[in-house]
Amino acid sequence: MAKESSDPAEARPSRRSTWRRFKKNRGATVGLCLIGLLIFIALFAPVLAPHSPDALDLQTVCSPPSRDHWLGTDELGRDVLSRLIHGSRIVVVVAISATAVATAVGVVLGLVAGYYGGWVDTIIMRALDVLLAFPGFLLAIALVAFLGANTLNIVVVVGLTRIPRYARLIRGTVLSVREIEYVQASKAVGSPEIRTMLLHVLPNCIGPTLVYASLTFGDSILTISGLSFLGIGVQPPTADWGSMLSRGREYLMVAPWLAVCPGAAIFVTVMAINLTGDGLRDALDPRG
Amino acid sequence: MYAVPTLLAAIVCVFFLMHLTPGDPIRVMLGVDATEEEVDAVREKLGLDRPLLTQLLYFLRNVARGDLGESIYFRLPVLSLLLSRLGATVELAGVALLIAVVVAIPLGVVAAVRRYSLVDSISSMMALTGVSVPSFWLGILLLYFFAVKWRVLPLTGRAGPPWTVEGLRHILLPGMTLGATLVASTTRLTRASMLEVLNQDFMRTARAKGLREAVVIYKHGLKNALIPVVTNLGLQMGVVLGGAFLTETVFAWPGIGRLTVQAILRRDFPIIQGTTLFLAAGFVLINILVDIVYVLLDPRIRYR
Repeated sequence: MAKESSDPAEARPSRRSTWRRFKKNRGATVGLCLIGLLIFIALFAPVLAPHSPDALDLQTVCSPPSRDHWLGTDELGRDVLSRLIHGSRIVVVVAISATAVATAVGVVLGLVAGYYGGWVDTIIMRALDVLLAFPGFLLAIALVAFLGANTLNIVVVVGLTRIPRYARLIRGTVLSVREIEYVQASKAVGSPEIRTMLLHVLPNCIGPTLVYASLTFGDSILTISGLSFLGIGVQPPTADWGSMLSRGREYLMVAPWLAVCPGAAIFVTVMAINLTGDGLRDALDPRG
Repeated sequence: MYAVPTLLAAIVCVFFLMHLTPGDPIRVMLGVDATEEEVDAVREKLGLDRPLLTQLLYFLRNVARGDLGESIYFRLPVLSLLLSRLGATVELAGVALLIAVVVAIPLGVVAAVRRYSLVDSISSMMALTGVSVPSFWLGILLLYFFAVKWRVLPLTGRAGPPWTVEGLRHILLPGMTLGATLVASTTRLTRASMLEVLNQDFMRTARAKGLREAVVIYKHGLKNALIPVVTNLGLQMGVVLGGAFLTETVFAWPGIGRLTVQAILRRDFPIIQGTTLFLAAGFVLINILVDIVYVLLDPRIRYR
């Protein structure tokens, strides 16, 4: 009995019980609601924003929060709240795309390396080790500096820096699943390898993938805003949280809200994602 | 030991960085108003007019000699520029590491021993905040409160080594900013690792021997719980080195990060290439050191 319960497949909780455990976690529920709210804001930005994000009003330059401008205006008289609302679109789109790139490539590489083993495994993992030799943010900076800062490059670069750890995680899961009886059985009856991989091995990777995807999503937002902050991210005049913060820093003495608001937006977003990710991990792995 | 081939492959990758630039990197570097002669001169100087394989071999030879090329803006060797800024970055990383060790390890231990207590809740709140907060924003907030509003600490820059009063006052805010993420992950890991150790048989044995609780926890517990913590600190140095780019930019700290960020804005490619190489080498070296410390901490681990 004890042996069976240590079997990863046996211990895999049903979807319903996972959801029940997730709902019980207050932090995770709040996090998930905040993410939903963020996506809602991003989708309906033009309707929700009280002003146009690019409308200049040189009469009200750097005015503090007021009834007309809830979060004040910036150095060109643009409404900070409206720019934040529109900026959420960039963050959501770029971070989700980067996470998708990292997930797709990382899962495939990890699956192939773990399933086939041998020299395939060696080549994939050694190549990824080379990527790991570079501190992630440094690699992102260097690649963007040479490739040029545009949205597509940022998505690819941020995604790329997350691939190695992803692949390692999935490979580890695959290694532990590979020897389970039903996988062996599927091989023994002569199913095509690809069928065994997708039908019997891959489902076991869904849990770790979900948890790691949430971590990657949060991390990507920090990396993307960091790049913008350094001036090599999404290029102005597009409203973007990182570059808003970077410009706001120059007006710290006269208009601190210009730096405080976009930073708070990044912070709350990443915190919500991390809360959700933690809740997901606890719900998927009740033993941990 | 895969460190040496990994590092070699990393150097080759850095070589190809320059070739990633769309269009002519020299044109991009020198700007639109450079003459054809100037462009050719730089191209020849960087060896970009030779076949790719020859370029690669030259590059490897130069790296082996410690020649990382010359900065276009400063007209100085990249290596000496990096070395002149290295001290400031190491100092900053050291203070961040020190803050992490002094704050996070005791906090993690107390959080584990008094599980579900107030300290435990505070420590998990801190950990969550630390991994979620954008470091550049945290830096700006600290700057705003301590330097602008209350005027108790200086605004930016570096003023000598951290053991002098002025030096310490200048490094405090950037050190805290850079250390925040490290505090978060270290607290979390110390707590988790300690919780695991607390249930081990040898802990019961130590208590049964009648040792004082403090001795049991710190000598028998913490020493065993530290192994994953040390490994993580080593791995996190990569994050710290990356974070230095942001922190140094916020606080105008004259280190490698600021040098590189300015180089990016000036399109001074040799510096960017040099930094990437330099920090990757440093990171690989740190990982080797972590392996060594690992063996020292845990006599059960032996390398073949």
